[in-house]
This record gives sequence, C-alpha cells and structure tokens, in this order.
Amino acid sequence: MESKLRFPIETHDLGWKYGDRQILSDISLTIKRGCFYSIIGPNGSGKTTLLRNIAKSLEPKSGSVFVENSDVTKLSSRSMAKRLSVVPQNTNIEFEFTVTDIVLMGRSPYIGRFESESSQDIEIAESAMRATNTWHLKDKRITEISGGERQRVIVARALAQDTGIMLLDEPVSQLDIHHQIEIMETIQKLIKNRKITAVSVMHDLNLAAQYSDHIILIDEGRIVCQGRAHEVITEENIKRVYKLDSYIMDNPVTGKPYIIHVRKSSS
Amino acid sequence: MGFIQRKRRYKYFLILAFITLAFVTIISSTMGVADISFIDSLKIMVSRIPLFGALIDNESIRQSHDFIVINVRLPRILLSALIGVGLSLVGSTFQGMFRNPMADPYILGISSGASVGATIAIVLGFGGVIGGLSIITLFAFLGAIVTVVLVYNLARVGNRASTLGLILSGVAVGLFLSSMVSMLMFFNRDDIEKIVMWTMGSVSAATWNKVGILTPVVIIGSIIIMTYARDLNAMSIGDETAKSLGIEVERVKKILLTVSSLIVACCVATSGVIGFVGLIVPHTIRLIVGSDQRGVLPFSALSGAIFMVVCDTVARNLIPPAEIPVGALTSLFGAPFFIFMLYKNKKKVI
Repeated sequence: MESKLRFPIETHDLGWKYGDRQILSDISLTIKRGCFYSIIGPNGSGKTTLLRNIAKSLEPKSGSVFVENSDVTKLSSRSMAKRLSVVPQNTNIEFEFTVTDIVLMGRSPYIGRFESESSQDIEIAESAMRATNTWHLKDKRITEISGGERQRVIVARALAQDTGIMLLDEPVSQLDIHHQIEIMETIQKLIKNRKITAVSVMHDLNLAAQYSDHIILIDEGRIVCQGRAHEVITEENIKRVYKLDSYIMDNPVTGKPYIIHVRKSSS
Repeated sequence: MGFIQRKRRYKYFLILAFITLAFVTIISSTMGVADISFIDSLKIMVSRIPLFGALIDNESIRQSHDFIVINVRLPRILLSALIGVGLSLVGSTFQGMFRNPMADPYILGISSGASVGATIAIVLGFGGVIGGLSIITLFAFLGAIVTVVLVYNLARVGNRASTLGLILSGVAVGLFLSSMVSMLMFFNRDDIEKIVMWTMGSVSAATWNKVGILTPVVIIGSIIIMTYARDLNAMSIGDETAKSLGIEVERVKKILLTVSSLIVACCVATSGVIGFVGLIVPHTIRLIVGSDQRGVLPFSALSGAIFMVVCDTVARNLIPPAEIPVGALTSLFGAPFFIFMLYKNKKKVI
C-alpha cells in the first residue's frame, strides 16, 4: 500500500551543517513515484549530503525529511531499510563474500535475529540477480569480479531489499562508458518494470540528461533549478553553476539536451 | 557457494570439530609426568558426569591418578579451551567490526590494561586470595575494564564512537600503559621475573574457580556474539551500508564491544597475555570457510579451543618438569601453520 503513494519522498526546508559550515539550506523537494531523479551540481555543492539526509545516514539539522509519509527521524533503521535502499559511492569490499552472500544481505531487514534466510529470500535474491544480469556470477567471490560487475551486484542487493525507493550515489562514476550505460539501462528498466522511484547523484551531465525524468541542480547547498532536462540543462545554468561556457544541442537520437563543453568561463 | 548451501556441510564439520576437541582433551589429560592410560582417563572423567558416573567401575584406578586428572590436568585443559574459544571469537568479531585484518582481541589496549593491573598487584606484594581468585587476577581484570572504558570514552563523539577512533585510542592508550609496566619493572627489579612470566601468558595456575568464572562468561558471551553474526557480516562491508540494510549499527557495536571486552578481560586476568590465537585462528578459518561470520565464528571458537589445548599440552610436556609459558608457544606453532595456509591459498590463485 505504502509504495502506492504518489510522493514517496518529501523534504521541507531541509538544512544541514557540518560544525559551523552550512552545507544544505532550505531544500524542499517533492519526489514523484516511479520516476528517475538526478541530483547534479559541482563538487562540494551538497549533493551527497542531501542524499545521505534522505537515507538517514545523516540526521537533518533543520527542517524535515519524509519517506513514505513518515518523518525519518522517527523511523528505526529496520523500517527505513524496508522503504529505501542505497547504492553507495564506494563499493569496495575487503572481505571475501560470494556474490550470493552480498545480494542476500539485502534481505537483512526482513530476517529476525534468530532466523536465517528462507527459501523465499533466496528466490527474491535470485530474481534480483537475474534482473541485473549478475546471476552467472553467483558463486564468484566479490573480490574477484570487475568494478562494473560489482556495481551491478550492489544494485542487485538494493533490489533484493524490495523497497519502493532506491537512492544511488554516483553509481557509474568509476566505470567505463560501456558499463555506465549498462548500469543506467538496468536502473531504467527496474523503474519501468517495478515502478520504483530512484534518486541518484550524477556527475556526468549528459548521462543525467539522457536518463532522468527530473533533474535537480544544486549549488552551494541550495536548489538552483529543477525540472525536466531541457529546463535545467541550459547554457545559462551551466555557466552560472559550473563556470563553464558550453554549447548545448539536442541529441539527434534521443532528443535530450547534450552538452559540449567549450571552455572555462572568462567572466 | 553461498552460506545457505554450505550450511548442511558445516553441521557435519562442526560435529567433527567437537569430537576432535573431546579427543584432544582426553589425550592431553593422559600426558604428563604421571603415566595415565587413555581408558583410565576417560573413565575418571565420565565418572564425574552425573548419571553416567554410576555406570563406571573405577575401582582399579589409583586414587592419585584420579586426583591428577580431576584437579590438576582437567582444569588446565578446560581453561586453555575456554581461552581459545574466547580469544578466537573476539578476534573474529573485532576483525569484522573494525574492518581491519590486523585487529586482535587486544586492539583496544585490554592486554596492557590488565598487565598494569597485574604489575601493580605484584609490585605491591598483594599475594592474597579473595573469593578463590588471586588478587593479581582481580587487579588484572580491573585494569582491563578501566582501560576499555577509558578507550571508548576517548574515542566517543556524542553518542557514538568511530571505528578508526577506537583503534587509534586503543593503540595510544595501550602503548602508554605498556610503558607504565616497563617503568614499574624498572623501579622494582626484584619483581621483574614474576611480571614477565605473567605477561607471557600461561594457564599453569588453572583452578576450578577460574574455570567456573570463565565458563559462563565465555559461553554466554559466545552465544550473544553469534546471534549478531549476520549484523557483523554487513558491518564488515561498512557501517553506512550496514545501517542502510536496517542494522542499528551503533547499538550493535556497543553490545559487541561490551561482551567482547568482558570475555577478553576475563581471559587475560586468568592467564595473562596469550597472543596470536585471536589474530590468526579467525584468519585461518576464513581461508577455509570464507568470510561469512556464521561460519567463521563457530569454527574459530572450536579451532581456537583445540589449538590452545594442543599448545598447552606441548608447553607442559616438552621439557619436563619445566613448563614453557603457552603464550610463548602459540606463535611458535601457529605462525608456520598460517604461513603454510597462506602459501597454499596463493597457489590456488596461481
């Protein structure tokens, strides 16, 4: 029922400080169900901080965050984990778990302290692995697969968590172009097939423009502009936020805006 | 293969490990200056088990042998086994929780704290016994607990302590306390031998009292730690990931730190600083069963026990009547075996 909500994530005047440094101010967002949202902005603009506030890795210092109609500060880690899954930026894993072990960890919020994974949990993990094209890796150790494969395994784990919302922190920034597209298409497919809502921090503006239903541009902790790709990815905004002169054309195949960076802005 | 598929096989291996431990225990109890046969030793032990005792005819067994097995060898074997279980489990827990392969049960400075406590008691000449335990043991326990509390509070920011903060403050406090022991030794040269022997770690002073205290601590502690095995798995990937998987990381960390510290404090207080077991046993087990703590924890516990019993048997039989401190032997035996395991694993990759 809850995942049928029209707006699974809302923030009201969210603010966050690191010591005295204001990192986020007055962030008010309404995230619509079944859409792909990208958060873009320069380094240090507060993108990841925003994501971590929504995920409750950081507690909002002012304002509030609602996930599926509940204030996140009032939710336990476990009920949070049933609503929202996270694909973190750094997915290096030192211990030699198998891929299956890692994906099954996504079932943690559903398994009691004295229980272990049921056959249903194993089925869910299998379907998550099939959806992310990682099933053939199931017996491999997580330390011996490539970066792109590992990222897909982490997406599979998030999927096994069976949540209505998936948050991703630069899911493709360390991958080559082939694996970038592969991950993005996987996520797009999941949104379409499972009606989940995805919010992702993105570095590559062209990828963001290509795959997002909605883009949120932030700078110095504030929302500069948000909306469809054509409304946000404009020469004016790029100049204002990234201090770059650019030329933007429409991608002849997809019709989405495509940026050609020209030079560092002189003004 | 995932954990679930391996689970059934694990069960047999665990039973096998249990049988090995029992076997090693009986063998060890036959060894020593007094020559006691395997059957006699088995009879003596079984005769003490309620219900079974009546079935055993131990008329033919000499009274002195009964006394040696029950009051001299058995408490010592059990103490070694308990220490092996405790240190290996805590080592495995800390390695996962701190995401650090170099973590061992003493990483929070517990050993140094206990050494300071014991050293103070030795230097002050407190030789008495309270409640069946020597004052040295009690001081060592106090030193260990005070140290952990200090280390935790140094690392604490608000209501949480970061992993790195804990390790750093543990190392710093540990080094400080180690030099305190050195200073105390320097100014009390007459006690140096006693202090050094204490810190080397030995179970030669085993009594049923010590076994009685360590048994509930280690067994209850182990059960608590094992119920958190899945949480530990997630935490070994990262605190933030664990949290996003629904684990109350800070709460789990506090519970595991408290339980682990109590286990280690009791182990160190009863037998000094026995190194290596808590560091290498979990690593060796991980090379065999993989990283899942649900496999690593029980197998580490049993292997740690077997390893300690074997080491101590050697320690007391190698050059009789002298007894080598078992703490000095653990690395001597363990390190080559671990190097062999690493080498075998390397060959598998090539």
